[in-house]
Amino acid sequence: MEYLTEIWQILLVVLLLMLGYGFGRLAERRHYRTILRREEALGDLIVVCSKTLPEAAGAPATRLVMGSVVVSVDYFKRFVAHLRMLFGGRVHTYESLVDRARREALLRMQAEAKALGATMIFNTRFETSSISKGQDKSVGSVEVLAYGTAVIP
Amino acid sequence: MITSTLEIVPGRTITQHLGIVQGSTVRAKNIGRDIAASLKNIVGGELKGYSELLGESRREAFERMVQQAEAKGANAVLNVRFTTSSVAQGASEILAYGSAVVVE
Amino acid sequence: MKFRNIKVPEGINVSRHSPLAEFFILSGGVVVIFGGLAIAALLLGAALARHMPVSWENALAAAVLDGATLPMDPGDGKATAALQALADRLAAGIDLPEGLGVTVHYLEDDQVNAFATLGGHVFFFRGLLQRMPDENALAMVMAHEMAHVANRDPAAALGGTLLLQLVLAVVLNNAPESLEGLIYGPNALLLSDFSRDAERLADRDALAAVAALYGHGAGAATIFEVFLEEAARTGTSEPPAFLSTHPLNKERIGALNALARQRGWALEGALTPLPPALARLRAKP
Repeated sequence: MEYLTEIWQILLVVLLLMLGYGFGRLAERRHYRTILRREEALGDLIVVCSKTLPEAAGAPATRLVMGSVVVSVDYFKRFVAHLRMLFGGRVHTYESLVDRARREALLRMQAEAKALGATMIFNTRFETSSISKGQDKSVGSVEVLAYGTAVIP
Repeated sequence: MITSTLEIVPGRTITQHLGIVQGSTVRAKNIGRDIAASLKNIVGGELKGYSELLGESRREAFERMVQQAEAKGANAVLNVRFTTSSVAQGASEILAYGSAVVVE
Repeated sequence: MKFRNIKVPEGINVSRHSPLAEFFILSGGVVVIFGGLAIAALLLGAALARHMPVSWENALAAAVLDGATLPMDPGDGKATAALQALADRLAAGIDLPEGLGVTVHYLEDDQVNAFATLGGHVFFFRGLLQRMPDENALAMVMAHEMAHVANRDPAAALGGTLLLQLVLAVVLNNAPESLEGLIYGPNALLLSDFSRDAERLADRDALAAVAALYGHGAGAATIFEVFLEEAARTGTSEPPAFLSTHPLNKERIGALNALARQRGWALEGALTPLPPALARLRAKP
């Protein structure tokens, strides 16, 4: 009956790949839709990386604001990335993972600043770390933190 | 306590620099969250448990940094930075640091 | 100074491409490249091992069997001697390499099976001997195992799997764990296909030797009927053909009949009874 477990294992991988592809695609599209909508809504909040405020700003109140998120990639994309790691080259399937995480973190920071009544965020920085580093030689999920100084006039 | 990633406090002058202050915490993921995360890993998407965990840890690191600044008699921490590093498999250290200053 | 947020167009950090296409191209590449590597390793290892000097094979077998105590058959060695005598009679019809003789051993177990290993050592399980209806069927099993020895299949299997394992170890050491299935799966298929080819060849050589000894091929296919009966009795089903190390029993019966017709060997003929020492074994519960 050894062959049954082999067949079962192959089926399981195929099932996970299909689940990952289907749901992962769905989730990603939905996420991008909310990202685009919120970027539109928060478009009037200026986010810059410069350290110095313009002279005209005067002496506004400042507050440290941050936003962070952990996003994981689906089974299908991870599988393709593992294949890619055998051959080398650009890992397309992880591009959207880090892109989504970074924009989501930025949006959360902006939302916090907006709630404080800020109009600008200065000296914005990103910090990226991988959660499951060292496990199964994979990246899998990343955490992105965006932080900066909210300027409240 | 004023905290900022800028090097100055707009409209105010720094009278004293009191040196570096830092707060850090090391946290491990727990099994319950790991199980939920491993399920989520199949379909992808935000791992809410980990988002919360890291948010909590970062707040703790930040508060420890502020405590150090208060102990030094500072009223502002400027040029604040965060870093994250994995200490061991499944455990990460979160560090917040900045310069403690007195502004008037 | 003026501050404005300008919207960034999509698709700069995220390239537009089809992940499905990438998946099929990459996994196809893995199967072709690593599959090719695995086939090359298996065939090369098997070919090298088939051509190793007989003295090396005998030395290897001696090293493995050294110190192993084999059980005595219930007839105080008479059954083993009868098997050995049958092997010696069949040897005329089997093209054994110079210096490689067949030595028969008895194993005390219910399994309905027999196997050949390095150095011409052939092992028979009690379970198989008890189910032999006549000498012709037993001769078919003996000739089949002797054909494996003559074709140097035990050595080829050892050499082939050894080199294959080596290549896999090197490849898998650098591959992520999740890909192991992708690499192991086709290799299991490859190994069983390799084994099935050797079994078919051994069946053909065995029938030729049996026909040479008795003048007809009657009773040879009975052995596969015995296997089928045994499978039905224990309620185990044969694995699908592509996963099995042996061809299906029905297919083997058909192949034997076809070969007999082609060579003009009669499939009808007088069956020879088992030698007394082996017949007694059959009578035992």
